[in-house]
Parts: sequence; C-alpha cells; structure tokens
Amino acid sequence: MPPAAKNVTAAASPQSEPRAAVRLGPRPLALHTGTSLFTWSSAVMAALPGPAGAALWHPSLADERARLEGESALVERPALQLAVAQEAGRRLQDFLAGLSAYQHHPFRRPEHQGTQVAGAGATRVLAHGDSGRPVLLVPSLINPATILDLLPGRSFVRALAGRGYRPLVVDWGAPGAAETGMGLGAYINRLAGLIAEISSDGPLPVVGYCMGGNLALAASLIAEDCVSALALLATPWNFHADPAPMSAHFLEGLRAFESLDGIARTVPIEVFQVFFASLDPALTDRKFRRFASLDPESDEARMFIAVEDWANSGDPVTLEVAIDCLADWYIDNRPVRGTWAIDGETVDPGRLAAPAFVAVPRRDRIVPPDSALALAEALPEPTVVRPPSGHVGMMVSSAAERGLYGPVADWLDDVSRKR
Amino acid sequence: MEGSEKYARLAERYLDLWQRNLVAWALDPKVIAPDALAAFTEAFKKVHDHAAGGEERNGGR
Repeated sequence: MPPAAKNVTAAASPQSEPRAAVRLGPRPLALHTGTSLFTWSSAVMAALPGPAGAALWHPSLADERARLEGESALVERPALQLAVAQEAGRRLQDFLAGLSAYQHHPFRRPEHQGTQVAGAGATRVLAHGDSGRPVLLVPSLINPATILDLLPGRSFVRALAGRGYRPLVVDWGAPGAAETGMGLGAYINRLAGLIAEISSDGPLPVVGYCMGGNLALAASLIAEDCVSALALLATPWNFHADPAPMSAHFLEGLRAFESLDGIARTVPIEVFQVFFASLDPALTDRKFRRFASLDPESDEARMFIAVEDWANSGDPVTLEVAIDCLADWYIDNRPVRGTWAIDGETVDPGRLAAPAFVAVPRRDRIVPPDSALALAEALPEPTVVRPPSGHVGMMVSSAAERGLYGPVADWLDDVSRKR
Repeated sequence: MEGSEKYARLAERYLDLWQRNLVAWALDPKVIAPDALAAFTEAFKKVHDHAAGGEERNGGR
C-alpha cells in the first residue's frame, strides 16, 4: 500500500481521529442512483415475450430484440426470465457496491495550491514553482483547475514544470460579491487584465482547456501584445457539430433560466452535471459497476476517485455565465457563425497574430471532435494534434504524456526558439 | 452447468440491450417534452414566491 493511502486510512480509523467525510457524489446523486435503480428493477420485464413484451422496446432496437427472442425460442422461458431477474439484481448490487466504495473511500487527492502571483475578485493566478519560463493555464469555469494537476504522473502542470516551464494556473474561484452579474464577457476582460499583469516581463504563452480555451482565445485577442503563443485543448467552437437529441431539448429548456433573473444569482454545478449525464445516461451505471470490481487500493481505483472527485466538484457559475454559455454557445452557436462578440468586438480566431496549437482528442464525447476541428479551421495555420483519447483521458490518462504533455511542450519550445 | 451458462449468457444480452432500450427511450425527441424544464422553472418560481411570502409573514426569519 502506498504511504499516502496508508496515512489516510489511519486517519479514518474510528478509534483515533474523525473519519473522512462521505462523498455525496456522483452529482446529482438522486439522478444517478434513480437511473440505475429504475434500469435494473424494470429489467425483469426485458424477457417478457409476445406483444406485451414488444411494446416495451424502442422501435430502433426492434430488430436486435427480435434476434434475441428468436435465439430464446428454444429455451425454457420461465428459467430465462429468472436468469434475467437474477442478473439484474446482481448488476444493481454491483452498482450500489461501487457507489458505496467510492463514497466511503479514504483516498483524497493531495492538494497542491501553488502561490498566488496575481488576482482579481475571486479569481487567482497560482504559480507552481519559483522558476522557469512562465506559461498561463486557463481551465473551464465549470469544473476546477485540479484536472491540470490531478496526481503525480498524471499532471499537465508537473509535466510542463519538468520541461523548464513555470505553470501559472487560473483558479476562477466561487462567484462572490465582485462577480455579481458577471457574464462571459466580464470574465474574459478580467482574464485579459490578468494576462497583461503577469506578462510585465514580456509576452507569455497561454494554454486553455475545454471552455477555458474559448476564454483564453477571446482574452488573447484583447491582450494580443501580451500573448506569445496560444494552445487550445479540446476547445469547442461549432456547438452544433454533433448534437445529441437529449442535449438539444435540455439546452432549449435552459432558456427558462433566463426567467430566474432577479431570483437566483448563480447556477449550481448539478445543472451542468445533468447535461453531461444526458450525453450518455448509462455511463454512470457502467462506471460504478466497473469500479466495484477494482481493488480499492489499486492505482486504477485511486485514479477513478481523483477524476470523479474533480468531475463532481466545482463552484457555481453566475447566472449570466450560464445563460451566455448555454444560449450564445450551445443554442445559438454564435462562435462558428461569427456572431460571438465581446464588448461589440467579434471573437474572430482568424485575427490571432500569435502561433496557435489545437488538440482535438479523437474520442471526445464532451466536445465532439468536429466542434474542436472547426476552431482549427478558423485559426491561421495552427499546429493540430489528435490524441487517441477522450476529453478527460487526453489530460490525465496513461497516454497523456505522449498524446498531449509532450506535444504541447515540444510546440512551446519550438515557438520559443523561433521568436 | 452448460444449460445454466446458456441462460446466464442470454440474460446478460437481454440486460445489455435493455439498458440501451431505456437510453433510446430517454433520448427520443418524441418522448421528452421540450418545455419540461420550463415547467419546472415555473414551479420553482412559485415555490420561491411562496417561501418569500412566508418569510415576510414570519418577520423575515
């Protein structure tokens, strides 16, 4: 057992110190547990024969169901139905066991806050290391920056530091009084101001991940003299590239949040988690049933926990940010249509003077590859890499070093040499 | 043994397909009411308004 895990386990002993807090994720918990409970408790009807059984199946799966029924014609139906019910019960048990194992696991990701070098309102810029060439990392506003420095060996921040850079990481912070009424434009102006402040010794490279890339791009166009290079990792641009039907309905429904103006000032992360869940409603069930089969002390289990903790953490965003993201981006698709503007100025990637780098993970389900590729097409001659990973895997999987960390550092070195 | 394995394998296939079946229903645009969230938000506002009225009645507590 690694020392860190042993220490945490000891701290959780009921005889000595208070137990570690039980996790309340995955968020929203009722949605995820309800989905699994409904799936497996209703599954006893899966092998119901005849027209009554057929009526339960979606027309798109009629052929597959008919094939399965054909293969089942020669077996004893009551025995098959019993086997289905027993397996459904096992799956529900596995899901609940995985959920409980996650919620009660003593492992906590070690905190590496960094040193604040700049700030505005709730937003801080945290330096990791005292020396090296500065590079600014901009995460999403939805989930926190910890994904950039998740665990030793799975850390973009440490990989850059190991290549002689001094990562400066933006921590957006929870919206407070200073952020009241701040929409995307205000956050982008704040970021542009911070870039100007920390580039007093000369322009520096900026790297944005996910929607942090959209913010970084817009801020770099404002503070263009302060940015020497811009890397955009899994950054969406064409928000209608691959719309899932549920997402489209969910997002249209989010227009209703505009009517909350004057009532709610922030939108909790649960709202966005429902959106993410809608992309693959069965994913949480599959993930936690698999987690139940892992050795809880294994590196894989700790990695799962660290990623889940990240995905289920995050401060609320202001109502204005939620409306800007969901209405202007996801519903109206303004970026790719050339109508996304900050203070009246269109955010046009074609105007970027600094060299650009775009990473488009091949198996991204959060930002479909075609969405991010649209940004690569809009930028003037960017370097494009296609990591063989998903949206999160690109940043923290065992393939991240070769697929992302190395290529970004190589490109930064190359840009620096050419300047 | 061979017979029970056959049933177990069939059961697994039924359940894998059943999970996909529920997702297919859930993602079917004809099933999901587009204004469901709007209705939820309206309900939220009513609850909020009611609670705000209650706070006033209770002296702002």
